[in-house]
Amino acid sequence: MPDRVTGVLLLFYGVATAAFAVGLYALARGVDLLGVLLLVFGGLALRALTQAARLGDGGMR
Amino acid sequence: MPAETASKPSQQLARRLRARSAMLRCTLAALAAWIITLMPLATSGRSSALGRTLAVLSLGPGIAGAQLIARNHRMARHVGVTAFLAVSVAAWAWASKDGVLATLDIFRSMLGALAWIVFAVAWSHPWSVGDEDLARAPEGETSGLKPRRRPPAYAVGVAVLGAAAALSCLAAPWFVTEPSRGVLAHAVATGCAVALITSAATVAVTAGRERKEEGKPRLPIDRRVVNTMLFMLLVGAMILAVFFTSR
Repeated sequence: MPDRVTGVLLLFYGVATAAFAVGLYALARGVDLLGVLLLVFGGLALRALTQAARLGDGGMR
Repeated sequence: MPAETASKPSQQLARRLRARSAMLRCTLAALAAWIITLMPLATSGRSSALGRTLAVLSLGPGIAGAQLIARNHRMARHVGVTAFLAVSVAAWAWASKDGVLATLDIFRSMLGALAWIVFAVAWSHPWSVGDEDLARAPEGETSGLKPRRRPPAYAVGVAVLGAAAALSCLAAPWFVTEPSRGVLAHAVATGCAVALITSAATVAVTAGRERKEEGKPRLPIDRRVVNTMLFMLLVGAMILAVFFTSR
């Protein structure tokens, strides 16, 4: 069973994956602005994941 | 006692199969990669004689290399990996010159990429070493650095999910409607795939760490994470605005 830290990281990861999937779909369909915004959203989710992982490690990395 | 004697032949068979599993795995992987990506070059009417010959010849080292694993591991790698890849690349180069590669469809290309990934995994160390040899090898000789702790089972699941998500990203650009945007879509998708697989590895590694819980467990959220989440809210609001105004 994942602990709290891993749960938060998995949440961010799920958000990022969904945003990338919809963003790439939007880009493939030619809806550029929405696609780019979704990719930025996914990127921010991964940034939050990295920052949270660093905190979970006790700031070791 | 009778149960032990009854299980002996099956145990022997299992041991014999395990000893040959590396050879079998590498042979099948090479055969699959050859059938999907090189056999069409050998059978295509547009290929030149040299192209066909190279495509057929490439099967030789692919199969022969795997048979050498038990006897001479170094030679097996030279033949099964280096020579096989060298002849295969030469066959592809010649096929490209003949214009055969342009006729390949997307499905076969993706299947071919998958087959070569399986080939690489099949030959990866120490899987390609016979299991009996691996059991006899001194500790540290075949497995490199020993892990300090074992990650939980779900960490492997997270890593596998990350790899699947990254592969899905790489598949998305093949469905772009305008060909002129194809290269850009591939570049963006590759960036997404790298980001996803790197983050999956981070999650998997973090899941394996032992944390000292002192008092009430805390969420890994500080001011910087909150700032990033505020940015996410802002971008999310923009996404909703764009989505509802463009309908």
